[in-house]
Amino acid sequence: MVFLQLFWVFLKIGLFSFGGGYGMIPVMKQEVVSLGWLTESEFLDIIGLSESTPGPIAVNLATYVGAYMGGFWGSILATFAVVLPAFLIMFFIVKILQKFSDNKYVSSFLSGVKPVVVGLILAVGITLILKSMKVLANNAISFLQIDYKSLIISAIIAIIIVAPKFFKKKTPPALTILISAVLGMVIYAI
Amino acid sequence: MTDNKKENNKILLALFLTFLKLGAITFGGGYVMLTLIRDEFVDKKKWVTEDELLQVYAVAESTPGPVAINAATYIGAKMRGFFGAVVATFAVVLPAFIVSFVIATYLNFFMQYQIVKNAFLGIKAGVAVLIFLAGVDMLKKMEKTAFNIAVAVISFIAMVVIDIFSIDFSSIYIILFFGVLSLLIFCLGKRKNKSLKNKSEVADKVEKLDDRNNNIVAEDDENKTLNGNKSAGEKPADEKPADEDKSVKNESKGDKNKETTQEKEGK
Repeated sequence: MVFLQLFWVFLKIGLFSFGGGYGMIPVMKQEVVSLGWLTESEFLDIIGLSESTPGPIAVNLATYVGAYMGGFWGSILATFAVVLPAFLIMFFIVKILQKFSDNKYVSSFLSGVKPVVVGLILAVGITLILKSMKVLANNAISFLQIDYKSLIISAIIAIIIVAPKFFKKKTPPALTILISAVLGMVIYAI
Repeated sequence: MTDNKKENNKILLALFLTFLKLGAITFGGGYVMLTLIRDEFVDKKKWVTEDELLQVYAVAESTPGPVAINAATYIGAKMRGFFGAVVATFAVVLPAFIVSFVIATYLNFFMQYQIVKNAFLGIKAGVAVLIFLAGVDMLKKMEKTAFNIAVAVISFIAMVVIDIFSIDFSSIYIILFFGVLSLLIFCLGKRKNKSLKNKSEVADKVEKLDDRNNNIVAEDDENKTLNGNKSAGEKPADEKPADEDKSVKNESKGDKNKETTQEKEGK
């Protein structure tokens, strides 16, 4: 029953998203793609859109996938599920706020989780880059069919993100996505 | 309507509207919202102190879920309990929900156009780079302990292998495994420290007993018992912590002061 699955999957995502917006991506990607709800390609599209629309990525993804798989009520259910863990945890520790974040057991658990998230995100990032350049495809790595257009776009985007850091500035993610879209329209039309 | 109810409703409405606004203007990046929350709730409305906001920030780092939800739930709960938390959270999620739902409904329609497809080809490349560079950023900020580096490397390799060979193994297990491992290491370290601590505390106790005995002139049964038990307490240099606790506790049976100190140690 798809509604039950929607609820359970997004509950998990809501519960295991540590490490800010990007921290959730490895877990989200695995859950949503392995069930065949979205292809990896579609997943990237939604993440891209989420960067340019209001709200947390998790909520955007839940609403989108929920709508796709279960219509209006699917999107309501999925969004509710993804928000629920954070809400419950936050509500019940409101009374003991100080103790929770100071709690040595909690922080020792989290210090184990943090490096995991770093490793996961780097892994997902690299594999996605290699796949978008068609270097990684069908469980094999090969440079023969490399998509140069994608390579160029990736390089430009990398510069756009990294360069402002030298001036202590940051490119807003929404702008990055917009530029990616424009680059795509231009380069792939050639 | 009583004045109290009017006041309640006013606050609820304010919660709803403010979080609706916040939910509508924060794009993609969670911690931007905290700056906006500071402006609204600390500076303007004074519903939350700066200190509390820092606490929310710290807790948001330790709890799963988007910081927007964490903040809305906390502030809503503080102002109007459960119902306030629900209203605030609902409001902050609503703009995202509406926009995403609309996109879900019409995206397929727009995707039939080649130019839109091309735009998304670009977006895919851009997102992959964004994710990777976010990971690099996190790596830079990560404390470079041996444990961290090992865990990050293992997680990285595991995830790459899982992806390339399409293995069905959830990254949640990796997260749980190393989280629990870290917790266990912490607990074991604590036990070890405690036993060391106990040994030195027993030595201290024995010293204090010596002093007491030297000061007490009057001969009553209590003193005689203390002297008798004292030799029992001097033994346990190489016994386990639990045993040390017991023998020290035996000494204190006739001595109320020692009992209270024992209770403090037990905590």
